[in-house]
Amino acid sequence: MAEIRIGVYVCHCGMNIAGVVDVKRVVDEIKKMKNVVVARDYVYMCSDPGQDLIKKDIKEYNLNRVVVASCSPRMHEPTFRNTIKEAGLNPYLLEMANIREQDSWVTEDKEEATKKAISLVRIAVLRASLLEELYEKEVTVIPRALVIGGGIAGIQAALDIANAGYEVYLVEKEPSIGGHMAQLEKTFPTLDCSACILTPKMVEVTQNKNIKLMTYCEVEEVSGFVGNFKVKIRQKARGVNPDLCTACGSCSIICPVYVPNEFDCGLAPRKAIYRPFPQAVPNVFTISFKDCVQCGLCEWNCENFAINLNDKDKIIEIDVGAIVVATGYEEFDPRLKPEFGYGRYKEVLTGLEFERILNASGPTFGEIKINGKVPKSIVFIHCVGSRDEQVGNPYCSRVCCMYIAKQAHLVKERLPDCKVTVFYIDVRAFGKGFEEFYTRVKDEGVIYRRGSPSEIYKRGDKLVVRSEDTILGEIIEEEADLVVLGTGLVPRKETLELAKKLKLSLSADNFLLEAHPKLRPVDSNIDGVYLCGCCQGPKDIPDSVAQAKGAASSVIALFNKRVVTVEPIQAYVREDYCSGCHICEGLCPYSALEFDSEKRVMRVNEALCRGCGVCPSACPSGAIVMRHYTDEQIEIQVGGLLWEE
Amino acid sequence: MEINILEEFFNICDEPIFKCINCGVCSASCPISKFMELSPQKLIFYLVNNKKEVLEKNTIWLCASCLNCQARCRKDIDFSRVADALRHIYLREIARKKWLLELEIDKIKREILTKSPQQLFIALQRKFAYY
Amino acid sequence: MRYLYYPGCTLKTTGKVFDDSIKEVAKVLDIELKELTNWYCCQAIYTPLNDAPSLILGAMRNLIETQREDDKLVTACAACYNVLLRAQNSYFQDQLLKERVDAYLEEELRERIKIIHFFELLEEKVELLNSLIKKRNSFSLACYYGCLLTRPKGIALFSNDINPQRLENLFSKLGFNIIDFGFKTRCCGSYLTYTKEEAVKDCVEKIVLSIEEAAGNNNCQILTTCPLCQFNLENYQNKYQVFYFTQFLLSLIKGD
Repeated sequence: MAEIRIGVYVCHCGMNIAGVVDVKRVVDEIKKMKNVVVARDYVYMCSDPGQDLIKKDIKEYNLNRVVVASCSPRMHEPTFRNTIKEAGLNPYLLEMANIREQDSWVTEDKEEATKKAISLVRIAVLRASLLEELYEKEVTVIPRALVIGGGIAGIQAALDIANAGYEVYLVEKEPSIGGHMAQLEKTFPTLDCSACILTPKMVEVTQNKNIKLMTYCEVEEVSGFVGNFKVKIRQKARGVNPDLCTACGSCSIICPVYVPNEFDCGLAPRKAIYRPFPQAVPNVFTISFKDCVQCGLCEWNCENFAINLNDKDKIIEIDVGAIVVATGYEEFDPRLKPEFGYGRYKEVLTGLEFERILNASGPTFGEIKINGKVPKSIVFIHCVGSRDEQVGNPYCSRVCCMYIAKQAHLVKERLPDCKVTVFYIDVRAFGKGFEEFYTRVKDEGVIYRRGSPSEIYKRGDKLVVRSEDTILGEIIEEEADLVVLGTGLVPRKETLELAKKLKLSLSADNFLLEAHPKLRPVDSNIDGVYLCGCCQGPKDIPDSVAQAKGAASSVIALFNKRVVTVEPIQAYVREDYCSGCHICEGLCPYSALEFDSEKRVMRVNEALCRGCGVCPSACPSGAIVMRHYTDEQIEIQVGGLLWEE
Repeated sequence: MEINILEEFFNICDEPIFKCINCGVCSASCPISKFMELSPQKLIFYLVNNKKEVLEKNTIWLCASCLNCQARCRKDIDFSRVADALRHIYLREIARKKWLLELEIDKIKREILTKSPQQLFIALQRKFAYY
Repeated sequence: MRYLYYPGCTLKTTGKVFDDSIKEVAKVLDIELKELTNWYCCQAIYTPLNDAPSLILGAMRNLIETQREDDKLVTACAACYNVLLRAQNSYFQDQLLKERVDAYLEEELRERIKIIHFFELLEEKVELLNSLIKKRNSFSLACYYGCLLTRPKGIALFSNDINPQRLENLFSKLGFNIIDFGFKTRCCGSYLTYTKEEAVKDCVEKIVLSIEEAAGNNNCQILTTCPLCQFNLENYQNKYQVFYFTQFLLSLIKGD
């Protein structure tokens, strides 16, 4: 074996390390070690001159191992690996000793710190002598993306990826794309008509040749890894052939079955064969088979022979290189707060239900009527189901303050004589134009009273909202003809199931967890899977669109690279030692261990292995070895700590 | 007398009153709050700001521990325990049996006194007398 | 089935008629209730703080008494149920409290006693009750739960339901029409009858209002499970008749 020639570099890190650790003494001690050819100290090793020092030494002293004693490897391991790579060494021949976060930053005792630094650098040198060259692998990336969820976030992500020239599958579980934004009347603060700004984007989706739209479909199973995902999609039985259907509606007219329309939040009926809303994309009808009585009238009435009552679900398999999750939110169910009387009184509505009432194509065609009468007083309540430990949602839903202000404004616009009261705890008008909008709404005569109501009951034919006005300091009982609960956003149950399939992590509030709360808001914990929109946390439309664009750009960057490098710090099985006992297989969190039935030994799938270290520790015969963290490399460090030379 | 009410409070009770956002649900849920000089929400605010007037108001004596406030509080604070703690502080530091002595027994209707369930008396004693 | 029975001070004195009804209903349903030999007043309201362990001694002594013979205890008074349950909970959850309380007790409480409210026993005997009921009147029932059996959350008997329905379920199985009203867990005013009568009047008024609104034109009777709620509701309104739940059942079984 060639002679080991180690260069050791101890960084001052300004005063961060040198202020506590006597770096010169560390260098002097380490110089005495076997195999150490050169040992230096320098003010900032990560700077250009610092790196040049290393590169010069590698050439001059013919070094073949480098030890850098400085900050945490999480800071600069990639930096120094690059440095020695540029000087011609394999980047995995670098060892770092953390004498900052683990030493100079945790004590003020200079003697103890120096002694510890010496120990840490000593064992780093010992390990360096056992390091081996390792080579990264490249895996090709399939340049096709899957976007799960056809709301505004999913639509925007699909459009951006498609416009960059890559194929996208857009999968949506409802019969039409559009999501919750399609249900809204107007959007805050600009008061744009929601459908008017959404439908052009929905049409763009159909016109873009790179987008393969799959509506009424759900993701069944996902396997694989970044660049190479295999996805099984269930195409639910629509009962209607979308290529033949002209959306004439004659099937719907004759259908005898009435069920509550989900798009109108159950406030209006639809037939078993239906189109969710007139601007649906794709503009075809769908049969909800759980409601269909199979009478066959629609089939008889269809002029285009588009109906097939025996339609069955189909499983479609696709291969994609990246997945974007944009599954959105659902509204908090106010039945969890029975004191508000939702369900008991017809005059208590949720935010989305009231939005449908305000909408011109909604159950009342845009007329604000309750029990057939125009209300003379309406009360809005903030924070229903949000900021509330009692229902397990301590978070703020972010959009309710503004959507209530918007709805209050719309009421004042259409019913100028109606008394509108808003009960609030705070008014969070944080975005662009939000505070101005809120001021305008107050100026229009909407009364804001501070206090969170505790209960709603009926007195005669009026509802009474009981609350404390915390500013005036009195208990008030406000009468109302209609109460709108500002219900918050909660994670969808279907998203929780999807997270299990994709092995995505969840945050404490059950929304999908991003890789880093500040710096990586659209990455998930799985490489190649990105998050955008409300499935990652409550947010309004501009933020959802921004995140969708962010996710799309990450996907495009991945596809542009065409290959993905896999770090070689992985496990491998020494087949001679493997008895095929399968103990390791169940322990792998990434399902990276496979049984080779011919050779009757286990094998590591290097595309999936993340180098977590569980299988080498579990293997009873020691057959599995972790590259770059072999037993010998670890043992020599332990030995180095326990026994001073 | 000099009482640092907040310090005394935290000596005997660990309710997280600093979490209170003054939303007022407790006051609105309280069936007795109409009769209180300081509503539950106001009382917590006074206490958080170390105002010993809280001991002089009738709020802490009217709380019936029905726990409606605790069932609704957004930050999971139990106001009735806060009221209990303040009562204990009053009974120990200021007057042993103040309210019990002020109870005008002769004003109460005879049939209410004789027919009321025993637990009413016991609860009253528990709340208003120092042991 | 044989159970140890803890009547509580109210049911033995001013509420004797309730206690009698409980004993009779139990006899009819073949439940044997053996009264605890030594029992103490539970103190009617649970108010101890971190440094006043003596306030739960009364309740704990009853549990020690129970421990000597059985691991279950039946009580029919809502206040006793609430106090015993919460005292036991604090005892087992807080090590420091346990040590301090143990210093006053003759023996320590080793295992948790299962505290049963008489109502739970009734739930198991629905068919038997159905067969025994001789006459039903045409009145609807409004079941008033009160606060002691429904709070605190996670501990009390009915507390885990968002909208408790167990009383209603039992009585609708017995063939009664139920009025479900919104204020069934709102406080009746409790012991403020002595110190602030108007507060109690106000509370009772609100409860009656809620029943009126839910009942509409139906004739209604209110059922209670707590002697204090019974007292307050009886004395401060005269729109509806109020019955203690076991008294009500007894009158149905006897047919009068």
